[in-house]
Amino acid sequence: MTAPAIEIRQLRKKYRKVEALRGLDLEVPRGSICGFLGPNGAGKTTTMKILLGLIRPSGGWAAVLGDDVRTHGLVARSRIGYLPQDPVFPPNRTVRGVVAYVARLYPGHSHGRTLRRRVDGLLDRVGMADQARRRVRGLSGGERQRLGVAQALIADPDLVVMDEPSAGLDPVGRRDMLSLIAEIGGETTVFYSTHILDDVEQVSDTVVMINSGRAIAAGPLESILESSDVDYSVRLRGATEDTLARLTAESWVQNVDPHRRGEVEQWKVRVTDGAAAADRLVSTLLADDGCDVLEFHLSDRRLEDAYLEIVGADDGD
Amino acid sequence: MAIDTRTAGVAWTGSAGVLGGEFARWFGTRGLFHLVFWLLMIDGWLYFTVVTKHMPFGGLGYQSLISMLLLFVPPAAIVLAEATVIGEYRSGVASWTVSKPVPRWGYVGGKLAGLWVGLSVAAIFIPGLVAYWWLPKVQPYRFVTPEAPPLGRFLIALSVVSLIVAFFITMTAFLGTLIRRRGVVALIVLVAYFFMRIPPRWLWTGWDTYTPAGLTSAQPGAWNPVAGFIYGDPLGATSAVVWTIVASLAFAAGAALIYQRLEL
Repeated sequence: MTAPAIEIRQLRKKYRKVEALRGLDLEVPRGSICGFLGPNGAGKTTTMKILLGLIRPSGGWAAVLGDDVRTHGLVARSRIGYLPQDPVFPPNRTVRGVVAYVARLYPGHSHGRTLRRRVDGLLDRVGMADQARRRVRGLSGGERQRLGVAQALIADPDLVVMDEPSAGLDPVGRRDMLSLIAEIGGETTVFYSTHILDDVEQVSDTVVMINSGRAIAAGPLESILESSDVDYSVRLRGATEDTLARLTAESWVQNVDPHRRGEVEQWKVRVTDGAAAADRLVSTLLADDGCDVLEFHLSDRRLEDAYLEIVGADDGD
Repeated sequence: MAIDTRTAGVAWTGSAGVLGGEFARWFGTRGLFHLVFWLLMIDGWLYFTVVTKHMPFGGLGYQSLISMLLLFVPPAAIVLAEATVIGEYRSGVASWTVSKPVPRWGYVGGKLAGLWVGLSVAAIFIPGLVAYWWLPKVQPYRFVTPEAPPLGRFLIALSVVSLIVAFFITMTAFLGTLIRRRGVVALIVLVAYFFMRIPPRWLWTGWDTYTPAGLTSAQPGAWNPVAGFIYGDPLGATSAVVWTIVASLAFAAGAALIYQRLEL
């Protein structure tokens, strides 16, 4: 049986009086793009650093692609590409020099012109081809992040670990980073932490949520969304109190949050049965002759709602 | 615990990569900068002291060269070793490097070996050999044109200077991994450097036997042992060479062991 990309059992880490990880269990399947979510201080960076051998766990077990990170850490790291949070590279090296240097640290790396072509190809892919000769110390935050992606990919890793890859990027940089993650995801397993839930919804197929050092939800994105209440956004014209009362009386409706903007009503409808809502929500509204449904869709903020619900329900003990 | 072949192969590649990266820097802009700097510093100043009447000790040749190397290169080695060990630890470059398949001992070893070899070539051997070539061709102000010593003895003398530089690099690395504060480490190592030049022999008689002071410190009225060696004097206590090698290896091993346990 093929080992998962990441497997963690009862992982613990204690910093003096602070317990950063308190028996974390998680599994990231191969080939997935896994978003690693959690509030500040939940233990995301600690988990990643343990996988990379930068810190030692106080207890428990972690493996990358079947290799125990404590006993076979070097072998495990030879299959990982890592983009740290706020990446720091040797300031006097050139962009091309950094990527070539990293390539030479991995077993089976190419040499000479082949290596140079590979480095240049990768820099082109991350949009840094014209910056290849620049020194690292002159790069902006976004450029540094893109260089970070290039150096993480240079060894064709089986697992790419990224610690908040889109944090601090401008909207264009963030969009480019998400495109890159989606693209990389077609080739290898990606495990990345973020606070930006929209990013996860856009590119991830798997989600792990962590709070106070323990996993509180994990699985395919769709199942996480289905496990929480579903919200619909509806824009209406001509809705009355009766329309609202009729909708609220339906058994599959949990509550309705109405807002008026001029003549248009914007309702957020939380439902307990997604299938029933998909079938009957519009017909229930249109039963009122004077009511027009201008727009009807699942709420864009579904993951955020699920996240807040799951993290909010977890008391951290 | 036996190291399996997969781990050994990865460790070798990672360590060689770090060392290769250091060499690449010394072969590039960094090396060129150092080469120009040390040629000006050592050969330029040596030329000035040999030919000018304004220098109080002007006119001497190869002995002055060795004394200058012993005077200027170790402090530079201390500064560079600090930047390598503490600077990269504090900036996060060390953490970034060992997140790759690089063993920590390979990272420390590669960095220190790269610095030692690079600095020895750029600051000791090339300026030394350049001076070896031009010194017999100039007319000194006070003394006769110095006769070139045997090349073999001269190269051994340069190697001993390089060994002393290795001692200070590894000592700085050891203290740097232990204390990780630049000012404190610099102070301790510079005091040690001062003691190696002017050892308080009244305090301990073993300086010349068990420390590099036996190679760098002159007895009253004599050249330092390395400078004297190039014209046929004995090197002094052979044990000083042995103990300097042992101490350097011990400091390097200590630095690697401490780094192994650091949380990055």
